[in-house]
Amino acid sequence: MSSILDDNELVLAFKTGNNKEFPFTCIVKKYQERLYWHIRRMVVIHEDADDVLQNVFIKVWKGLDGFRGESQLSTWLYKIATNETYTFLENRKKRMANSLDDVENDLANKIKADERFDGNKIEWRLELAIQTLPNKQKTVFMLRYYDEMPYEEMSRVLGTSEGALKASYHHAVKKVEEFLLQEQY
Amino acid sequence: MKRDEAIKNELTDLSPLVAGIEPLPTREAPSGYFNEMPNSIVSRLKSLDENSDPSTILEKADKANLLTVPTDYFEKLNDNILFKIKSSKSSARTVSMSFIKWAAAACVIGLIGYSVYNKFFFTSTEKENDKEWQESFKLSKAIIQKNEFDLFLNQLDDNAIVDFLQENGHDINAALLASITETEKINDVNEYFCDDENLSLMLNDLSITEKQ
Repeated sequence: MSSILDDNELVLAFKTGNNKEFPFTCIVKKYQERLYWHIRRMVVIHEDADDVLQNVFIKVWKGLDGFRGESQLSTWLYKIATNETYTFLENRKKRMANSLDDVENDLANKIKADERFDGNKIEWRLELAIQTLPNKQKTVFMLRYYDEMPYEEMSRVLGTSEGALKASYHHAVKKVEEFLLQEQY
Repeated sequence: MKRDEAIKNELTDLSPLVAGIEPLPTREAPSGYFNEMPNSIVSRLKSLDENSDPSTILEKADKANLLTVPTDYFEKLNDNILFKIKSSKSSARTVSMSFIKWAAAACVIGLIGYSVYNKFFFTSTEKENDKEWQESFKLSKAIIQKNEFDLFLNQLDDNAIVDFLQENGHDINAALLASITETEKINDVNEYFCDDENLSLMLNDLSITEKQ
């Protein structure tokens, strides 16, 4: 169903059509997995990712009428998803302000709590390494490494220059490498 | 998973170790999650719409107004507002009048200055003929000796001061404006007696030229 219409047509159908649910559902089906994993890698557990993703699509529903098409729909969706994830993590940080643990350790502990976690496997250690990165570097690394997003699009999603993003990715990779070398068994 | 060659090469240049890790999804979403997600979102949106639709909320709410106002509030509102407007005008006038006294102080200083000037520069005949100024000289001297300058000013009626200023050709509005804008900079009263420049200005203001 969603393959029949491209993004521009879906947006137009949402804005002008009588049945907003159809184009909206198409958009959700098309982007839900990409956005889910983008969020999930940041917040780690499914329940949190689900909460954030639902909020993202509610914002999309409310804001799509005002979407002017100056960027691609996917860029706009990633932008909302990233901001919602940051907001979620910030709120969690505030809630944990009086806790002895911090968000980074909390996320690392959640990864380790997964029943399939295997500290000997480098994929899992990579997950732990990523959680040690500051939020912005973490996002840049994930968008580049997992989503293979071009810097040009990433620049529009994060509102940062391409040069700064390249530098950020460089630092992130080096930190991840450092962590993996330190944590080798 | 087939990776973008340019991105893979970039990562290999930065870190062969990290580039060697195959980015496999190490976590799973619950079974059927993505199939249910669109309907789940739409259902949530509908429930949000129902809860946030003002007409629905108002229909559910008791129409009785739970907020109250004091008895006769609206009947008295107009009078209360008018009273406040008048009060604020009266207050503004009071403030202005208090500044007039400072303007009057300048005139009194001028008067004193003029009296002193008379004493030393006028001829005896002229001085005898100018009884009014002699009286003012006595008054000024008494005020200075008793250090009752403030007391004297406070006894003066505001309207009398205004009349005095007007009779002597002073621009009352300008005096008021200057007093109000320069309130913070007004010198201590005694400084007026010592400040030659101010005294000269007062003399000039009263159209008094120095006689040789």
